[in-house]
Amino acid sequence: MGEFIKNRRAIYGLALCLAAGSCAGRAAGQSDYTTITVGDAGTISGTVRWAGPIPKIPRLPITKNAEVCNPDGEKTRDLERLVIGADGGVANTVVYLKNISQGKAMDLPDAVQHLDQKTCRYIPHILLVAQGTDLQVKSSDPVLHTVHMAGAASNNIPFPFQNQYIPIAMRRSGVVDLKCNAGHVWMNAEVLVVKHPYYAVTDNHGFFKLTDVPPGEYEIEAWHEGWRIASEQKVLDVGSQVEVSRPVYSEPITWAKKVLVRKGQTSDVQFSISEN
Amino acid sequence: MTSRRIRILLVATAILWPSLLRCSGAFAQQSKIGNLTGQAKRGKELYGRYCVGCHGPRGDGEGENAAYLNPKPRDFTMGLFKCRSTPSGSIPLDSDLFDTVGRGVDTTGMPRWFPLTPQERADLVAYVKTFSGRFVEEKPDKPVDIASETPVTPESIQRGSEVYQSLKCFECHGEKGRGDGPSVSSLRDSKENPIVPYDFTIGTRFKCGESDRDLYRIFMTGLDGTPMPSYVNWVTPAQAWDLVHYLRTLQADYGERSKTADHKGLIARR
Repeated sequence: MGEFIKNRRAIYGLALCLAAGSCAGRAAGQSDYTTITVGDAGTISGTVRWAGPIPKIPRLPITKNAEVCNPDGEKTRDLERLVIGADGGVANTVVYLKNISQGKAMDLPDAVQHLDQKTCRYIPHILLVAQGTDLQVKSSDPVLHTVHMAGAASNNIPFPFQNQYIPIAMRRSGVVDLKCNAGHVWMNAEVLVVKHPYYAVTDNHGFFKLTDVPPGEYEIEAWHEGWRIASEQKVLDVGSQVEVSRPVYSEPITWAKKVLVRKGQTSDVQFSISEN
Repeated sequence: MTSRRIRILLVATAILWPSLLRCSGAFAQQSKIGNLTGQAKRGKELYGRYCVGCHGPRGDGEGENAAYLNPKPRDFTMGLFKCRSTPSGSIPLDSDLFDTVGRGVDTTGMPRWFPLTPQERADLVAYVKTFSGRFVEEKPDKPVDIASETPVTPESIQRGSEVYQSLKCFECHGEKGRGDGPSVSSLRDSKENPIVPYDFTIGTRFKCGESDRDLYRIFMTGLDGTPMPSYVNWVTPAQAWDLVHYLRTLQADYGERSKTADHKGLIARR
C-alpha cells in the first residue's frame, strides 16, 4: 500500500488523462474543436525573447554534396535549433492557445504548410499543418533527399527529382521530426500537426500574432523544439567500418501563461526564455 | 491515504477501466487473414514461447537475445513495420504481418515460422498488434496497386538501369547494388541503430519476399522504420517493372546467363 500511496499522483494523472478521452501521446493538449462565426473578436500579439547568455550551439561539418549543400563555402552548417535575432527575439517558436474549444476556421498560412529542401536545408524550419490535410513537400536540390518522419507520422518519402510537390497526408495530431537519410545528417525540421488555427510561428524578431480570437481567458503556450544536442551517437558503421555520428536533440520545451482577450482589443503577451 | 480518497480512486478506476484496457493495449484484439480469425489471448501464449527471446516480454525488441542480433529485433510498440502492402506511414494489413511471420525476414535474425500452423500465426498477429495503440486508433490505408508485369526484355532491363540511376538508388545501394553507396555510413533505423542497405548480389531473396511482385511492392511502399523510402510517387507502373527487371540482373545467380538473350526464361524460373 505504501508504494500505492507514493504513486497516487501518477494514478490520478493517468485517470485525468483517460477522462480527457486520450492517452496516446497527444501533443499540444487539445480536445475537440468547433468552427464558429467569430464576431466580436480580439487579438493576441507579443514576442518571445531570449534572456541571459546565449548558448553556443555546435555546427556540423558539411560532409556530402558540398557543391549543392555548401554554395557559400562555409564548410559547416548551423543546425537552426536556436535562432536569436540582434534584438534578442527568438525565431521558430510556436505560440498557441492551449484550451480553446471553438473559434475561426483553419487559416494557417501557406508558407508554413509547404516544405522545400534547398541547399540541403529544410525551409521553413518549423511547419504547421492542420490535422487531416497535406504537408506539401518539394526539393530544389539536384541531389537525392529523403524526408523521413518520426513521431505523429512515419512516412518516408524520397526526392530524387527537383521541383515537384508531393503531398503527405498528416493524419494524427502532434509533433513530427524530420530527417534526411541521404547523408545530410545536419538536416532537421519539425512539423506540428494541429487541430485548430490559433498557432503562430515567431519571426526573426520573436514576434507572433493570433487574430480573430473569441473573447475569454486562455492558456497560451510557447513551444520551442529544444536547442541542445542531448547526445551524439558515435557508432561504428557495420557496412563501411567508419565511425560516424548523428546528433540526437533534446526534448521540446514549453512555457505557459494566462491571457485575457477582450472584444476589439489587442492583448500583449511576452515570453522570456533562457537556458535554465 | 484517507478512506475517502481510496473510495474516489476506486470509483474512478471502475468508470475508467474500459479506457484503461484500451489504452494499455490489453483490450482483446483479433486478426483477420482470409478465413482465419486470430485471437490475441492464444497469441500471447505462443509469443511467450517463440518470440519473447528476441522481441521481449513488452514487445519492445529488448529480448535477452537482442544484444547479439544485428539488425535489432522489431520494437512492436512503435507500430512501424517494414513489410507492408500499404503506403509509407500506414499501419500494415493483418495479412502483411501474417506473411512476415511465415516468410521470416531475410538477412536478419527473424526466421521463417512455417512450423507454426496458419491459425497459430494468425493468433500471433493478433497479439503483436496489442503492443501499439496505432492498431486501435488507425485504419490501414488501401494497399499500393501492383500492375500486371510487363515482358522481361533487354530493353526493359536497360530502361530499368536508367530508372535506378535517375531515382538515385545508388546513393544507398551502390552503383552495382552491393549496398555500398555514398550515404551508407549515415544510415540509421528508427531507433538510431546503424542499418545497412540491401546487397542485391548476396542472394535471391529480399527482406519482404522473393517474387517479382514482392520486389515491386518493396520499393513502392518503402520499408517503414528503416531509411528505405517509398517511390510510389516517382515511377509509373511500367518504369517500376523495368526497375524490377534490372534489379534481378544484380543478383548473385544471374551471372553468366545474363550474357545470353534468355532473360525471360531465367526470371520465369525464379
